[in-house]
Amino acid sequence: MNRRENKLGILGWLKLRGYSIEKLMYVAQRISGVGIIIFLLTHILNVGLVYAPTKELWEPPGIIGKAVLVILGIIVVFHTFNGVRLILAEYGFIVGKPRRAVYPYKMTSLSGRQRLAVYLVLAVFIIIFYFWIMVAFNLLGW
Amino acid sequence: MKESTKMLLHYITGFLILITGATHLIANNLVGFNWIKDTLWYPMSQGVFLAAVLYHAMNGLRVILVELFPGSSSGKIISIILTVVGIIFFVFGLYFLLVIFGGR
Repeated sequence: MNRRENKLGILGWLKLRGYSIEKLMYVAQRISGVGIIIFLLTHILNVGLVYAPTKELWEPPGIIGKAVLVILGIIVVFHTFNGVRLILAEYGFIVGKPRRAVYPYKMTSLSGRQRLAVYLVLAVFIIIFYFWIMVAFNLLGW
Repeated sequence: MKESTKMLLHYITGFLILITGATHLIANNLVGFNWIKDTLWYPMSQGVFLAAVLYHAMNGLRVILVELFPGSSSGKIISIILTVVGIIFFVFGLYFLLVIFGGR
């Protein structure tokens, strides 16, 4: 293997044209994952070094911290539901049976229950997004 | 470890995070559920949460980096670095967890 196999690198994530909606979900899963990792590692250090010695409850630091927390809530919800869909697809629960490739060929893994799961993830995401915005306005004191 | 074993662990820890992470958020944020934190099960579940979330995070980062920098030697370097980072954060986190919940 050599480097040329992934020439585009991280820019390949931006190529969404001509791909199915699953590509968008894949990119969103990765970006949200990296975002959660950044929060997780800083959260462990923050709570451990600042709050653990005094045994105080953790509070998001300032208005910026709260805004970060609002974005974090949204991406965690997305990552969770999309992750469940990915597990179901990985172990073949929603991808359907393989079919003979007859002319108007329709991939069973990119339609039917799998595609329904994609829409379900997006629907749940939008619903929770709405409620979360309500909570966020409260949290930010707007 | 085989790649498929790593990914199976990734999915198992994902479900563990779903349970223990929900416990973490409910016990810390919902008024009226503070009693969860007084039980012995809470610090234990948070230890599981810490281990699961760090494995999940480091493996997820590994998958991204291995895809961006293909090759067996770079894969090994990435794995070693991320394992070390994960273990350091686990030890730190476990120590902090013991500081917070110890002495009860």
